[in-house]
Amino acid sequence: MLAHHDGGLVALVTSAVHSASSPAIELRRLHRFFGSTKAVQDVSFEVSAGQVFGFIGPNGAGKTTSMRILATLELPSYGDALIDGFSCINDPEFVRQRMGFMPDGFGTYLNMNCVEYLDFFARAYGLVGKDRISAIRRTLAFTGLDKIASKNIRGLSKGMRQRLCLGRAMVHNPKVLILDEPANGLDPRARIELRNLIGQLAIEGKAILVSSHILTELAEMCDQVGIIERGQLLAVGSVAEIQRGSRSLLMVTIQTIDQNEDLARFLANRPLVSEIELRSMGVTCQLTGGHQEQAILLRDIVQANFKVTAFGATERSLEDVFMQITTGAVQ
Amino acid sequence: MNRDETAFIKESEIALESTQPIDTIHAQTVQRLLDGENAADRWLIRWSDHCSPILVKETRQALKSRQFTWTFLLLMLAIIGWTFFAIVSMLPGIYFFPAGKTLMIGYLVLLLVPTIIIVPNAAYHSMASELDQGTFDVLSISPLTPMKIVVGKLAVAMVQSLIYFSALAPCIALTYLLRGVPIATIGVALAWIALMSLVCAAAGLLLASINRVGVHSTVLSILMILIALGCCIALFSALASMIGYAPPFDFSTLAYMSLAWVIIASYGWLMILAASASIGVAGENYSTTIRWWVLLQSTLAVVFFIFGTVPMEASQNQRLQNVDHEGFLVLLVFLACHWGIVGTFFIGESGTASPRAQRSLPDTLLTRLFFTWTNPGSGPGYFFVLCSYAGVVAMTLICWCGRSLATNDYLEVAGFGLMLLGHLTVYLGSTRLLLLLIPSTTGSRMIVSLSVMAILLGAGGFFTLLLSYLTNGLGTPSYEWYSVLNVLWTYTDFDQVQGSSILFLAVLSVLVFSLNLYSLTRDIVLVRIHSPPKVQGERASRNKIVSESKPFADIL
Repeated sequence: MLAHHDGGLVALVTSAVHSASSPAIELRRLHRFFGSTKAVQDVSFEVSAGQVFGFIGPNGAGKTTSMRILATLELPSYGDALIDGFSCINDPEFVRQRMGFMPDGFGTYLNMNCVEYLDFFARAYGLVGKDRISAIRRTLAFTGLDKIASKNIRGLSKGMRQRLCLGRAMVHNPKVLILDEPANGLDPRARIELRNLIGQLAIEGKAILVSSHILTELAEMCDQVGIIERGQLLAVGSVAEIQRGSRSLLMVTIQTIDQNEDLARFLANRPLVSEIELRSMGVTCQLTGGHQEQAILLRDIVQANFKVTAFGATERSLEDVFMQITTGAVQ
Repeated sequence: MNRDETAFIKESEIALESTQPIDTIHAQTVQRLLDGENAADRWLIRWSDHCSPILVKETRQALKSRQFTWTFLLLMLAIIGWTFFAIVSMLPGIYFFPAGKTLMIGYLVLLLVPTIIIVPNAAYHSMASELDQGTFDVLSISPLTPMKIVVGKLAVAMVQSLIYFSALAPCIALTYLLRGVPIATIGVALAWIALMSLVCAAAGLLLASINRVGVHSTVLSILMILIALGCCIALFSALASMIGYAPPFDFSTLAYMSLAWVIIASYGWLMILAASASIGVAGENYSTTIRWWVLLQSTLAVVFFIFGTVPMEASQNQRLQNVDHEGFLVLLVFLACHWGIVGTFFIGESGTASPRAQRSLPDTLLTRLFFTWTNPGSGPGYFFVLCSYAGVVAMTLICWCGRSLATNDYLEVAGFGLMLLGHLTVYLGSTRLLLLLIPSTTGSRMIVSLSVMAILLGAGGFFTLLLSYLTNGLGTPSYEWYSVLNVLWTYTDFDQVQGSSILFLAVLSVLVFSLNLYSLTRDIVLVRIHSPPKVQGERASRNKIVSESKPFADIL
């Protein structure tokens, strides 16, 4: 039994000793080449404890490769990845104790129920006796799997499997969670539930790196996002920062009394205005600029004697920003 | 419908019929699954804390699997069937003549099939499915080391073999009671089966782990079945003849057999080391351990040979004087094959040592002076093989020094050993030089290395034979100076080897060795790098916790 207590003590002491100064997740000039393919090129960012960092990018952008390097499953060609200050390359044994990884697709074992699956990984992480039982109990309760604890894994739905995989990743109570496309293939309800679980984990102080294609969800749950394409990190920051930092673009909708066609012609001759569309509700266009340009446009329309009944402008969503920043190129 | 589904449905029915709140029922189910249903379950769960997680997981899976259940049932039916058939067919003679041998041979077949074929194949598939189905990724990022994973899977194979052995135990007792097979013979036969079952399971794990580096899984599955079948047939032939003759086991016979077991077990352990290296963390130094083990095997082989080639009762001098010099030639060829094969894998190692691997390099001047060749990398691997084999040749020759032996025999053994060393130098060196031309990012370099070596050996044999045909006017080929590159021909017709052949091999060896020496400097200048303070602090805190948790640590 001594050795088992060692495991628990080690986890407690190590988590207490090395946490204060270094960021929970840190990528330093990470590069990964597969022959002539540059999967990851000079990617650097940091994630602090309690933060959720969203990794956005098209397929083949380098998200999974970066995450696998962080999960100690691959080596970079150049650069370093650190978890709680320990190098994923040189000290994987210390990283693994602190990190939980949920891969995009995960295989399941035959003839195993949910409890046995979690029990195996709890044992693998050195949890024994009461520590193991309480860890499994806590994980089952957190993920809501206690209702299907005795069910065979093969019979689980996709959403339940994702929950089980999340449970496996967090059974040893790691400080860092790396979740690769956790919402992939889930129905809207399961997505919302998963998002809530991630939110709760962040509140508990865990640093979470999550990748997804569903940008609206990332915008809602992430404190920071990084947009990656062709292995290069194009933008990093909060959603608001990225929206501000990118070339400012407003979607403007104008309604007039029976002058919409004239207004469309008027707008076509103006600078900074593009994508003009005549719709039943009025005229929509894109305006390059911010509030200042918006005010000037309204003033000019009114001065040109258009009978304006409504004038509205909206900022772009994360999806619009993503489309603007990325080119859609794959490698 | 499997047991989990049945249990789940049963639980759901209970929940529907029960008047208790649904949450209470779920909580009770979780409690039952985690703590066990009865005292025996609880004791097993507590006891399993001391076992490998892999062993616990796979035992649970095996107990639920149809494959294990059916194999066990079929084995039991076959045992009962064979016992009944054999006894009835031998009646009434069974009362007057020893019938144990006949029964025992049948039981051997029944035991060999599950232990040598089914269990190793199950071990192979257990590892291969982890790698194929993506479960290995999540397993490998747990703190379980590759060695623990491999040994855990081997332990599962041991447990399964043990179950099959115990199923057959009463029948083995019956064969002894029916006379004809001494108890020592039964013990030795069972020991052979147990050992070979473990070694075959280790081979299965190694083959499955090679799957990770790009070899096609179908090829490996077939290879695994062929290996198991070959072992099964060979072992059955050997054991059946042993039981048939039922030789008395004196001390020297058992001693020889023990030496053979040690050698076979050492290869089993080598396979386990290689398997754990194949699935291990990229950048970790697994090479040094493997090299020390291979060197130990080689030393054991020489020592066992010296003390094992003559009867144990002979005195030390008699032993060395009575040794037939051909025995030494066999030893040298065996060890050349041993070093040639492991050397091919060594030179397939990556040429760059990771910072993590560099932390394990020799540090002091003295250790750097003597142990640089155990460093990971293709260059040190090449020189490690040559130095080790040169050591084997020297050790063999020293063993003969000062004995009253024929000078011709002594010279033949010396020449044989040096020529084998020359062939290792040329073929391993050429393979390494060719590998240097291949980009270091190429995956499965060890398989490439093995292929290049096979091609070079084949080309050496084919072209020398062709040249000899052509130079002899398409008549019977004769051994020429260049035929020394044909390894098989050289050692089967060793009497025909002349001075010109030896000179050619010597010049070629020096040339290849020099080229390799030139390309080796990068590997030699590698120095140890020290762990960062944070890592040292982490290690120190872990060691402190471990030492504090052991009450006798200070005394011991």
